[in-house]
Amino acid sequence: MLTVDDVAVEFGSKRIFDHLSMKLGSGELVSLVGPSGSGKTTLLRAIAGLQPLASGQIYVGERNVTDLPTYRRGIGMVFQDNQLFSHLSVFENVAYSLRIKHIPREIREQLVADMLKVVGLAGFDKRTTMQLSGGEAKRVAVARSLVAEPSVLLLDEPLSGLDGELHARLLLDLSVLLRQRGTTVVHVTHDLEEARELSDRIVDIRLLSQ
Amino acid sequence: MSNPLPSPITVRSPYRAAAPALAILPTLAIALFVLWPLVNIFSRALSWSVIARLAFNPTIRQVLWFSTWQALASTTITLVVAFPATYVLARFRFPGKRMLLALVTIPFVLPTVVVGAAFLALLPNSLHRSIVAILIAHTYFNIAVVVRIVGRRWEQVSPLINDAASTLGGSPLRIFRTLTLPTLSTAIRSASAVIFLLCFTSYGIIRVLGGPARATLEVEIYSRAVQLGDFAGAAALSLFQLVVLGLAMWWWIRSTRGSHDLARIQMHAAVPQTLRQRIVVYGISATTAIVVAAPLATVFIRSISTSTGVSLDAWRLVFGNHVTGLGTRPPLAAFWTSLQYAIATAVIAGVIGLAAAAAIAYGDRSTRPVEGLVMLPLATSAVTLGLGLLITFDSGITDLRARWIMVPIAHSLVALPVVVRTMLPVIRSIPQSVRDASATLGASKWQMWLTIDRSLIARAWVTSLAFAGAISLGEFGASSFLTRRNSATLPTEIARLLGRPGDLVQAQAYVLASLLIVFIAVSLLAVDGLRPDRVAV
Repeated sequence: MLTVDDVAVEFGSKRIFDHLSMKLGSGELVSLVGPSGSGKTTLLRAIAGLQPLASGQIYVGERNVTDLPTYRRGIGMVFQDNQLFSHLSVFENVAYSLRIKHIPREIREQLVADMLKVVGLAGFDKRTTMQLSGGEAKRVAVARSLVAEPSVLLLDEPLSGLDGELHARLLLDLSVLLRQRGTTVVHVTHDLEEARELSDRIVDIRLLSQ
Repeated sequence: MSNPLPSPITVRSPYRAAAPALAILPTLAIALFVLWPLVNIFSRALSWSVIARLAFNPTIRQVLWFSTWQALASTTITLVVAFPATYVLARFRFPGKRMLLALVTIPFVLPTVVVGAAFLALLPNSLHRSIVAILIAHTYFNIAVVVRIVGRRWEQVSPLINDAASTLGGSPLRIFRTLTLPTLSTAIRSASAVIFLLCFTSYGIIRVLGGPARATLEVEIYSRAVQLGDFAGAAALSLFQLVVLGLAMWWWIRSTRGSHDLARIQMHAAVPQTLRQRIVVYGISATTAIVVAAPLATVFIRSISTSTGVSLDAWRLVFGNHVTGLGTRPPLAAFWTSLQYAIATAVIAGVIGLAAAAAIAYGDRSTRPVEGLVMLPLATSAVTLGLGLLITFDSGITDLRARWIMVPIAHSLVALPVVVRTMLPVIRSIPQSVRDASATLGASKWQMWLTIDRSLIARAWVTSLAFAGAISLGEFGASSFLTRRNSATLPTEIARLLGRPGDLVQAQAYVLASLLIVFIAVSLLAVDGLRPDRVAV
């Protein structure tokens, strides 16, 4: 489903990684681990099209998306700090991609309501993002990405900043949700325990560079 | 649900007992030199016969219409023209960025007369005294307002928000429309209100570029009072203008209240990465630099240009102290007068401003109204201030019109809000814990103030003095009412010379404008060197 073929990323004269390749099958959940500064987040941003490549190709299925802008790739991403749109309500945040696709209002409302139910936030639609706790904001960020039905979902340390019981509960919910939906996922974390719970395969990013 | 932030503990200032005494001087100054003159204006204007005479006067209706539409047009054009530079300066980090930001700010701190003179020199004769020239000059003058107000908001918005929208399928145009614009809307409204107010009350630019057929309310007030001797009519128009300014400010405060606080973290601008980004950043930067620098350069070029070619005659005449252009004294005398006024203004505004800022920062509810009082000159136009002073201090023991101190007093009133706004955040930012530490080491309140507050306030105070001096050097509105031929300031002398025929006479106006540009630039560089970015504790 996702093929990263011999890619390199540079910041100015500094090469973050090169000759990096990886392949994910449809519905596969892969966790990327590695020390800080090894380029995990940079790789996710490169896959999403948010970071230009110095070289290499990225495919979603058979489609070469290397030269496509982010919004045409069909790749969703949950950011470490959620990046919710704080001038929009919870409903409007989750409905953002549906509005872009011109989904009729009634269907949009239904899809958002269903998705909020799935992530355990039924009835939260009218709240502002400022009224959410850390865990609730994270669930909204996940719901916002999933409702767009991306071909590939990128999770950049999605549970960082959450601790104890909340972390465990969200991890379980996320794992069940992603498997039920059969979403192809690249998950970045520095928490090996989290990686084991969530993914089918754990990969050290340093081993991906040939 | 998120835990609400604990409310900050209110620490009472150790100097609060002194605050009421500190409030006396600024309160008296505002009451005497702003409120009393305003009451005088009201009492002259509040007559049905005067109001009826003006209301049915087609010239006044034309002036009102012109003031309004040119201000709206100037605001719209400025927002559009300044947007690319605002984007580049807010979102990117690149070599020369600080210099470009400083360059963009210069037009806003230049005297409006100099801006008018610059475009008189730059634009072809066919555009002189035209609405196009006015709109261009207003846009040039106000670019910094958009760059500073909107840019400040824009650079706080996390670029990751756009990334998130991108991953949800948002195209750059849609992201701009659905995320960027709503995020910036409050800042855009703020900037629009400031630009509208500045253009609605435009005076110096209109006096130089407008011609007789194009007068704003501010110019009409001046013409009625000084040229027609119709003080009642001028007072009525001042009153009307006060109401319009009050309404505009009310709308501004109301529209910016309760805005969304999108990003609380100051994000770092990014280095342009792709070739396209580099073309956009450097292309817009270079264009902006040329657009801003060209009128300034033209002022210098025009000062050495005569019909016979390049010549330093105008500089020789100015520095040779020759009387010129039907004047009664040499143009350079205006330079020395302005310098004296600037020093006097710095002293007066510095003392009153320090007392006001301390009274506000150290005081409690009882001294809080001082903050509103010292901002009053901001809501009152400089021309209205000048008119008020002129009609109030004109007889008996209060006959100060002909005294030289009247001009620095007026300039101090114009500078007072800036002086207070420069010092207040610095005084407020001094941590109480530092004062507590000095108390535990045996310092009395007075010793505490001398050793802690005074040393931390000193730089901000000197900065505010430089600001006050620079404002005095460029002040034109109040000066046009209060200066005489033998006490002309640089801006009034420039306006006088520009109104006289003859290449060499006009070139001397540009010599004075060049001196003013250099002087103000030096003052602001001094301010930049002294800027109290943070309190070093």
